Amino acid sequence: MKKLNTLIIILLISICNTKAQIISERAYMLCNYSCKSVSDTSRRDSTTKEVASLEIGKSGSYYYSINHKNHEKAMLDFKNNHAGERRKPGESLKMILAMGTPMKVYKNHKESSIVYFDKIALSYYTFEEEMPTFDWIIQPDTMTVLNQICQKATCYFRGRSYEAWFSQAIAVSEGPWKFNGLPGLILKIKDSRNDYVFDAIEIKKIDYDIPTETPIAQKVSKEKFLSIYKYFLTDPMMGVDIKKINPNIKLSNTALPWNPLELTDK
Amino acid sequence: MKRIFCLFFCVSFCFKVYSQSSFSGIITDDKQQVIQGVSIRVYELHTNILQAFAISNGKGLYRVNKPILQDSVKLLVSMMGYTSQQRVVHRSAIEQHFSLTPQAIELKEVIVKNPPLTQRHDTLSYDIKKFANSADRNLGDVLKKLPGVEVEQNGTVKYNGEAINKYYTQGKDLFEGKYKIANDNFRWQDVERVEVLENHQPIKLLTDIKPSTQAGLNVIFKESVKAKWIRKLEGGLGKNTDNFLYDNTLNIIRIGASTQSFSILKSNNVGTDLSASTASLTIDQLLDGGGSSYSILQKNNRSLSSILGLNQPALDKRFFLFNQSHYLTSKNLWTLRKIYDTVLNIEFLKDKQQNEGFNENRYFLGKDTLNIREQQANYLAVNQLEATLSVVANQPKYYFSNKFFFKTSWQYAEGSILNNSGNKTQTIVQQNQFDTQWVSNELKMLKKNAHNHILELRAWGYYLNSPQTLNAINEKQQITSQDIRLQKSFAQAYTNFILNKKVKLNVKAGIEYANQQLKSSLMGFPSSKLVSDSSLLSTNQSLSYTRAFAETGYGIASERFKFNLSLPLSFLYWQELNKSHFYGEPKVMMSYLFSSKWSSNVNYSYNYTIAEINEFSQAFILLNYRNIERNNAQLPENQRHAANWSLNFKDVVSFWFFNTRVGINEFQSNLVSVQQNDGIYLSQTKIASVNSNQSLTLSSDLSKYIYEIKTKFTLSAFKQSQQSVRLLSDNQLANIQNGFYGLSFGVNSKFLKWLQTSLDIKTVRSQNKIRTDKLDTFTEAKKIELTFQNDFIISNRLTFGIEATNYLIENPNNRSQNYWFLDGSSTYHFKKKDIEISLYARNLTNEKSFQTISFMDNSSTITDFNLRPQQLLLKCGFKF
Repeated sequence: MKKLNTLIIILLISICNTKAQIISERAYMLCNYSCKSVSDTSRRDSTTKEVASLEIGKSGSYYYSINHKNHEKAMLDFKNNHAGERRKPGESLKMILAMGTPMKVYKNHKESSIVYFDKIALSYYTFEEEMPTFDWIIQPDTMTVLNQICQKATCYFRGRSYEAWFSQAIAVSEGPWKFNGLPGLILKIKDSRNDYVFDAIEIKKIDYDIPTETPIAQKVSKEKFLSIYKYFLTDPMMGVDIKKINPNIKLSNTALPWNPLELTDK
Repeated sequence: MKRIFCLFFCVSFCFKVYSQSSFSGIITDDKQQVIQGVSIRVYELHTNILQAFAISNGKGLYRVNKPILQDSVKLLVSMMGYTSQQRVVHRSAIEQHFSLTPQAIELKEVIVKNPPLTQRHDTLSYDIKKFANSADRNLGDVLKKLPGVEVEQNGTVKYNGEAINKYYTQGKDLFEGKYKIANDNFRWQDVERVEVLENHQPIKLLTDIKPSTQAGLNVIFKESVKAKWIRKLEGGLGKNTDNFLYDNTLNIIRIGASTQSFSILKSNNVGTDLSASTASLTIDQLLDGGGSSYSILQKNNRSLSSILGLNQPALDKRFFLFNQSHYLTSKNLWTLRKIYDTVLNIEFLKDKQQNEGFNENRYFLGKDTLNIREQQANYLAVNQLEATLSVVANQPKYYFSNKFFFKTSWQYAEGSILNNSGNKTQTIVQQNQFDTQWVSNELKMLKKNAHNHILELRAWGYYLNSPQTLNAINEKQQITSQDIRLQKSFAQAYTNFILNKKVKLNVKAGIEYANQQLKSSLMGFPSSKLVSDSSLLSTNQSLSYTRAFAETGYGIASERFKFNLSLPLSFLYWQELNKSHFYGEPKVMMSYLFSSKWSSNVNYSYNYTIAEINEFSQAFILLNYRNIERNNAQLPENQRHAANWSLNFKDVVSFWFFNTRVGINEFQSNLVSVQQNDGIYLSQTKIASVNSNQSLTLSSDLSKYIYEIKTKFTLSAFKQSQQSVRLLSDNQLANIQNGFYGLSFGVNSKFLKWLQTSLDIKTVRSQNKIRTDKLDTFTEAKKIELTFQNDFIISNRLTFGIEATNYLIENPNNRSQNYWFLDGSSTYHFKKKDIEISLYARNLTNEKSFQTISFMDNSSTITDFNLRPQQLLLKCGFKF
């Protein structure tokens, strides 16, 4: 009963939407990254792969999953053009597999802040945090990525040790996800356990506005977001015994693995 | 006391403040608006190494927090959309403000999606599928197209002009230098990438202690074939005007992380030289002193007495090799206890070769010139069995290797000669039997102690037995016969201690013993004028020595500068001659990395070569049916000074590779050859006299790859000159100068999806000058070679290829020769069953013979070599 109440509260919160403040400017460069992640550390051979984009403007940037953007677009198309129709067998599964990560990261260097969006269950949440400080240590090692000579830098950030490769020739202090603070664009970054690996696969010159159209999301504090997320992982069905609703559905209420990018607060 | 304490405190404080000096400031644009996100980078002034950095915040402020230790540094301020600024500043000038001017953002529309070549520190990774296409038959074909990599005709792989020192498969040394067979038989489709390991020191424990300028090559296989059996059978049948042809191959390969197996059976009579697969192509540069057993075996791999043959033309062997060759090898590697790589390599070669043609020899003998024309038909049968068992543990703190090597070979050569000199003609039949039995063992151990100092032990030895006979029978059934039995045994042990501090110091001491025996007997030599004393016809000599040696060495190995100096001293005692000799052999090597692109190496060495008994034969040895040679009882003492300098450039981003090399050698000997002749019979006697030869080599290679049009351009130039002296008949001192000059240009392109094309142009000029009091000759030959190859890729399944080669040769007697060769091929791949059918047509222009000229001291030889006729071959291959 307690769990059902929690679910109702979460659903009610998600209806009361707010819109986070993000920077509005033109993006001049786009960098696409191939992202590999291990969600279950007991099964390291099973990795999730997707392509993410980093759109860079003069004062900020926008990082999002292309797979998820395409998935949302496909869902919307289907809703608009095929409302009421049943999907073909296997099509739903295909869409779920290709859905990607719903996370979106807006960096605002002027305000030194980050606006973060992510989806838990069916709802989007957003929170704002101060631009984190990465204590980068420059290493003498070099490597070429996308035909750019990159310098190695290492740092420890919120529970993980990272190895980054940045290009001094692309003088923009940016990188995928929250990463930044190096004197050049980060073209490759991975953690020491290879749980998260970001590899730049394409850099383009662009000239369009960073989209300010954000998903309808509930603004919460970072701590609140993490508690909801942890609760969701321990009980993905949010207290609902799905078998009581439909005994034929073969879904269990077992916990999902916990291996986020940020393992600690510091 | 109090004052002293206060002073100490003040000094320490000042020092602390001074050592922590750093930079801060504000960044604005030309309208005095602050700019956020600007990179401020601090570089070491001379090395351009990034020391520290800062990023300007929302108020345009920056602060470099890391203390700056250098007196002056370079500050570079940059941001996309603004012009960069740089300043050289003293570290005391703490406040540095910058004003940047806006500029248009310059970034290539798309930089490169997945470039074909990436670099990580000293490792270059080539993505093989980006360079390959369906016209490529094996990995070797793709290696030729990689920027910075060259593959020579004998299979040697060079990176930026220098031969590689190791060839690995998945990081393991399965082939132990004999990697030609690997490149000829690995399918490029099974290979994920090829890594070039720059400055590769094969012994991990010596990385940063004994620097290497050579590169290693590592072949990484695709996950889908790793640790899986790859079996392929290829059968070929064909016909030329005389014979039915065959060309068959069976490959069974398995490359895993801890076990590897490579077994090949090959058999052909189509002109593919299989003996080249048995040659080791890597040079042992481990500074062991005395070389490796393999390099010594190579030196003794030639019969002292042999039939007089034809000089092989500088053509691909498929054009002139009349052969029946069979080759079987099985190379297996197991990693035991996770660190011990055990390699068992067995190979057997049965090779029959025939050739026909003629030599036109011209000898400048002082008073006159001797011309001999020899029409020849030769036959060679080689049987060779080799076995190697190696155990290697190559760990960061421990190295162990033991290599046992056994080889036996029996070789028979027969040739008939119709010679013509002046008005005389003569028919000679020559028969040569040359056997070799070799056994050797090399043990080497290195261990790092708790203080990172290294102790090295090495012990090795070999035994060689080589009976040789040569019979020359003329038309009157008169026999000239030479019997030789050569035996050599050798043992060496040393210990070396390396003090691994900032300056590496090593101290080495060891002892060496060698015993060599030569039994020789010559009978029936036709010229009594040249062999007047019958005591000079046979010998039973023994030559043994003991050498005690010690060495001190110094080395510095920083990121940019590497230096090594070794000063070995030896005391050599010849037992039979009761003679001793004390000498030093200093070596120095320096390399400097100017930047990530430019580097330079320089080295000098002095070597004293310990005499071999075959250079010390007091009796005449019949070199071939008309040449004899002896040493007039003087122990050879050969010394060599060698100095080399190289400048290397590489830019892996824009695919430019360049190197230029200069080598100067001086060879000093206490012997000089005196030549005498009696008609066509020539004798050479080595007598005591100071003799020195000089040689100079200059070479440059330039390679550029343009990714957008998938085209590789290469340009090479070389110059080689040698000077030597020789005593001709009547004691005329002859100064001999040989010069070789070459220039080559090549393009390999896959600009069009359906066409792979390559063009190679080579020009070589050879010169020979002989100057005596009475003689002044100059001989010159020129060669231009043009090869044009096109592969038409109709689809992934069907390809057609055509190769045209033109040789234009100008001989000294101004006889110009023009040759055209045309080959064609077509391959069809049945994808479903993985079957491949190929059709090859060779020498479609049906060239009959090929003429070349070569110079040797005071002689020049024009060789006319008969070529293989037109041939057609159908091959079918499938995986099973």
